Amino acid sequence: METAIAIRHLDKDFPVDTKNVRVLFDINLQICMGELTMLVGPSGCGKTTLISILSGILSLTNGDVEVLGQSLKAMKDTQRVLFRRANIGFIFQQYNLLPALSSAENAAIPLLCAGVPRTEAIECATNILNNIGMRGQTEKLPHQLSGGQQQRIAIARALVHNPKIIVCDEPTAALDAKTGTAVMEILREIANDKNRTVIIVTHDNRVYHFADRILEMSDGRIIGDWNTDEFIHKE
Amino acid sequence: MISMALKMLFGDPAKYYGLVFGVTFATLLMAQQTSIFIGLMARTASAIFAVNEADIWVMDQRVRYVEEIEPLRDVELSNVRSVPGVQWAVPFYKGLTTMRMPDGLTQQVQLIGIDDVSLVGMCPKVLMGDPLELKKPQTAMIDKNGFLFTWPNQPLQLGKYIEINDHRLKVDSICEVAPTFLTFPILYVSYNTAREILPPQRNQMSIVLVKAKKGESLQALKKRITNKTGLQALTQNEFAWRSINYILERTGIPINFGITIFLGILIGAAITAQTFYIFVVENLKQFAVMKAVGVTNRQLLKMVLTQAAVVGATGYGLGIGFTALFFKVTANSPALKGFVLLWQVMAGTAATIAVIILFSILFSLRKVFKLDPAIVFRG
Ligand SMILES: Nc1ncnc2c1ncn2[C@@H]1O[C@H](COP(=O)(O)OP(=O)(O)OP(=O)(O)O)[C@@H](O)[C@H]1O
Ligand SMILES: [Mg+2]
Repeated sequence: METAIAIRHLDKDFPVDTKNVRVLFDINLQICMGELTMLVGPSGCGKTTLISILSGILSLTNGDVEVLGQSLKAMKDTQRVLFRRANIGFIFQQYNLLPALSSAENAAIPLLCAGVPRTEAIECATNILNNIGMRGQTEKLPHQLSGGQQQRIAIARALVHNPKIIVCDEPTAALDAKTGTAVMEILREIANDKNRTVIIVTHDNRVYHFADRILEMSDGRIIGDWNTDEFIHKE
Repeated sequence: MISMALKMLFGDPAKYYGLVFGVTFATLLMAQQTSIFIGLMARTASAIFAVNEADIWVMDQRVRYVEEIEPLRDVELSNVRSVPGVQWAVPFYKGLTTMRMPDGLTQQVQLIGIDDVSLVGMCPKVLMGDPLELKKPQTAMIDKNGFLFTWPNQPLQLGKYIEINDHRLKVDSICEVAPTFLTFPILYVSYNTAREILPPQRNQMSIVLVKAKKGESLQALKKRITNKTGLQALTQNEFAWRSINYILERTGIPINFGITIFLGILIGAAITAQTFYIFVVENLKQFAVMKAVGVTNRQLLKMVLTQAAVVGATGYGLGIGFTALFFKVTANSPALKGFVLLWQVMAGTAATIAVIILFSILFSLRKVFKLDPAIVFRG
């Protein structure tokens, strides 16, 4: 299978006061297209930091990360913004929608900022929203919608520009079991596309079975690389 | 992106109104105070600009200001007349005196005495009566506001009498003058009448008004007059500016207006900058999300500038509107008559507001540019 992400000897330091504190240690990893990979581990072990780096939001300290064949190490800030715009879809625990914009407008942001004409962008966003059970909700503002519906807007925003990589941080943590499952089903569907890969950070053991592969982290290191059945069995 | 920026702005009405208020307030203070200041300066010169027939004003060297005239000896009139290049020269009296009001109280008035023969220096806008009547002894022309002040609640009419230094003068005409710096009633009389009713004094003439011969260079003529008489000779414009500069230098007026205008700018800038900063800081998470999903700093700059421009334009429009309204409402009050909103003031205010706004968003923008999109992953 085609490699989506290759991580080699990755370290990450954060400056704290005057010192640097290392939070990721020598991470080595390959992630393929067409897979749904979950990243699990105790709080503070570095999951968010890792996906922030591989999605081009955070810079890295040592080693290199290649995403879709492009090295992130050498990229300048603006290049990274354009890289994210083209290749990454984000889904956050807090949804992070803009309260003044309608569902469709929120979902259309990645297209709008890439210069797609407004009507076209809104139409595209509306189509995706319709496909994930948001028909009739596209004109509403986020505060008029439930958490599950808001997360669907975020999913639509992550998909609207057709990125190859979808990165999710705790996408179901704020949702009840049923809504969480519905959201996971949508993400599972996306990951079945051979030209995409979905990476999900989660604590939610109810959704582990949606994964193809589960990476276990602890204290800034990857300590386990499991296929799903093994992992669930072990737990 | 632009419509997103606007929705963000209008999506938070309280803050939007706060921002607009700051700009409106600053605009109003600046435009209104500057206009009044300019109006006052124009009033200072209006007594000079009311006399259009003369080319050169000849007066004592010490005169710095149209309302504070040093008297000249009568002989200076013939001295000036004898300077080559002078077409004609006429006496002009300008000074304050006391009038007895119908109710027995006294009131300061501005008395203007104009040459009996030529009537040079006559009020340019006569509303009622025949100005030639002034040639008759013991007659006067009063300005409209002066009439309404002296005889309140009476319609404008001729034939009234006023009393100055025990002389009764018949009001035979009424005129309208541009507001002057002093707001006392204005009386026009003939130069001879002025001499009769004023307390006897050796020197009475205030100014000699001179018309240059055709083709004569005013600057050269001025020099010749000064050389011959030792007096100060100024063109209309020069005298007007000399008076204005005197006011600027010698009175607290510019300082007071300066302070008000400065405070307007300062407070307006403070309110606008602070509200804008809060607006941006409170929306930082939103800006971070946009950054994360691919909005560049340049696009964010455009968005913030759009928001600032809308706030600036709305606030400025309202502020100018209120200023115009103020001058419209007060157009008929004698204290504020003649004060108008000049386009130069509007343009200057607009430029200042633009600077305030740019200054306001400077700090906010720094914050946005430096913003680390990684905060989107944090709760
Ligand atoms: N900007 C930062 N500056 C300093 N330290 C940071 C910063 N961001 C994260 N850290 C530290 O890095 C470590 C890993 O944080 P990270 O957010 O990646 O953990 P996580 O596995 O996502 O935890 P959680 O499950 O609670 O979300 C933590 O110890 C955290 O305190
Ligand atoms: Mg995390």
